[in-house]
Amino acid sequence: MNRVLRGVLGLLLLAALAFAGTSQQVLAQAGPIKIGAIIPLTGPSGPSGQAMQKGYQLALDEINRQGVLGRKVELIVEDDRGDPPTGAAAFLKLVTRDRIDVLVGGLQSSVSIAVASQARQRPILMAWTGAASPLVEQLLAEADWFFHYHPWQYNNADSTWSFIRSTGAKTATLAIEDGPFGSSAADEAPAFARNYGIAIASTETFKTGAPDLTPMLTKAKATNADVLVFVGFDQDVIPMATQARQVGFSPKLILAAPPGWPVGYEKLAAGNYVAGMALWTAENAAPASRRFVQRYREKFNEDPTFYWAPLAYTNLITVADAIRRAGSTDLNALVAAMKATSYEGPIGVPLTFKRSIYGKNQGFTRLIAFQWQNGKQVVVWPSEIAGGKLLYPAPYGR
Amino acid sequence: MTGRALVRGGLLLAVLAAVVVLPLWVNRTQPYYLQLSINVLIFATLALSWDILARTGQLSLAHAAFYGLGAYTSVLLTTRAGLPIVAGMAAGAVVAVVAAVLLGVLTLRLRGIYFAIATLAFSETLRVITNQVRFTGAATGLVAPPLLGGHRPSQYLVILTILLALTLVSWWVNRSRWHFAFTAIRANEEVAAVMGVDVVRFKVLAFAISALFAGITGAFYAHVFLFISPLEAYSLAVSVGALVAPIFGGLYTTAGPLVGAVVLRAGEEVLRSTVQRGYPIIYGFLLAAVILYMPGGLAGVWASLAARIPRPARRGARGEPAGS
Repeated sequence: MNRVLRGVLGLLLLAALAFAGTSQQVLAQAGPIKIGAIIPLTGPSGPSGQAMQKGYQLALDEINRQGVLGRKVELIVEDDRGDPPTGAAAFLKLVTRDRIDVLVGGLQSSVSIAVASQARQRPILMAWTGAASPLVEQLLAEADWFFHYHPWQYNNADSTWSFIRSTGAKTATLAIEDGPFGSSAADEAPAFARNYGIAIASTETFKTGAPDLTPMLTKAKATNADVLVFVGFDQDVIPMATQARQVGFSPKLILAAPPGWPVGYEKLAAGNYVAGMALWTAENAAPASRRFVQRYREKFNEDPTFYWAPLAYTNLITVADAIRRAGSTDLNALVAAMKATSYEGPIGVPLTFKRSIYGKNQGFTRLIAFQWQNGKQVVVWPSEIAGGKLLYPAPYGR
Repeated sequence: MTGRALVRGGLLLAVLAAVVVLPLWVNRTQPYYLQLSINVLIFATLALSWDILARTGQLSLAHAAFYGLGAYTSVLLTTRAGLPIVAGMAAGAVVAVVAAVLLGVLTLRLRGIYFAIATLAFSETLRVITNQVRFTGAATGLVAPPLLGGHRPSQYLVILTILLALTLVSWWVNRSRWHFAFTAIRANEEVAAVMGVDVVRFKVLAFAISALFAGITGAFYAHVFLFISPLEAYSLAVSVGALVAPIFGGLYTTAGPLVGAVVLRAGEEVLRSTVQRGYPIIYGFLLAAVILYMPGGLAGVWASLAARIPRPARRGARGEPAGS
């Protein structure tokens, strides 16, 4: 009898323990799914990071209307300041203190490498928006859990020279700022230009932020090239456009590729017909893009000026979708679900992940070209998503 | 040994034990704090090494140059020549010292703002050259191999050892005849020379010690964060950060730059993770307030507080000057 009683008590105890375990699991399941974001909210890349944060907020509103697997999604944003040590510390805080399920964000290559070196020791699904340097791609070549959204540097160069080729131009002059941004573009240009049959007439340099670009523009004018490829920052494009008119420099096309365009550029008469390269513009005619712009205006009472906002939106939406399809936040299940991603969002190009030169999971691989036409960024290339026609040669005199 | 000295020695040992053991112990559950400690120690090493040069009255903006030279030398030697990382780091420190001696000799006659501009130009020149040369990875930068296989606790002990060595050097400098030579040069070079101080020798020595630790810290940084580019390695922010912490903590002392670096970097991290977007404003206000109202920095405040506490007369005690 005593033995039977002990047996029953033992079974009851086991059942109680099992129940306690299950109820704890249920409670844990009821908590939010935590997604960490590492982006620069301050420092030189602050404006791009702030645009990303807005994109994430829009996505989060949408995701939490229904929830994911019956749970809310919580986004924990860490400012990396564009500083690798801060990025590495932010990663460890998110993973070990906040216990996030997925990591999103990323803009600068140096910060991405610092974060990735930590992530290799603590693998987590890394759905990464930025970092165009191929060094990042090489470093994470074997990382199955690394999903990269932004085109790599060589994709950007390929898009740029492919677009120039499509205009019928035969010669181009490079005007590059003398920092890393311009130097890396200058390094890649000869090979891509040659590949697309474009001769580079000359390469002129300037210091970013310099108020007087006329010496550089006068030298560029003397080359008589069809296209001026201008690689500078936001603050350089207005002096370039106005001073090109002053020195009577009217190539068939001026193509600029700043990370963002300064506020008010659309009102600049001298800036008309200048073309640009970007992942996305607010004039993108895709229905999802129009919806995104409308919601962005409603929520923030302004127009999105950086492509980082729709890219961040795409980033979070696709991660939430992958968690839904995976049915859990288990890393292997998530990786499999992310690999099966097929999403037509605001960027206007379907997003799927494929192998790149080194990496396993590359998202977007092409930039689009637009031309400023009467204050609007009219998408002119590639033809399948073009919203208007490229005015080439640019009708400056009219 | 007096009772007071015993207490001080005991306290020092306790602090030493805490900085060695605490981060490693916390790392078991919270590796975030170990990473923060590494970031703080890098900053503190840069700050204290900059201060050693400042003790001769030279306001240098070349700290980024030595930091970058150390980083690039080590990464190039380990990746291109296959040298072990420790050898690469040592070579990085040596190259930084050689560059510092050359720069020191060239800029001997310059003072004040002219010296600052010359050192800034040196740093910028290195940045532009590195940016153009394909061998150094040009603008794209270089990926560095990890120090000690990327094992963070061991890396922490390495930077802690570097900082402890620098602290000992700084403490010795401020306790030796060098301190009087440095102070005399800072006050008036001509008078110092008349008094028999070898101005050239001491200025170049200060430059060399300062660069040695900046160089090895740059190399350490590269092998911990695994990437260097001209924009970041030779960034003006490195030089400015190195001078802000000693000003905040207390110039020309050993404790001042260390405390300044810890308070600034830890405070910045707290603000960053709590206030987020507006924190640089608060950070800026705090810095401005300290510089305006506490010209001797935190060490100056400590010294004035300590002066108010009555204590028994000391015999031949010689402490470090605070904010002198």
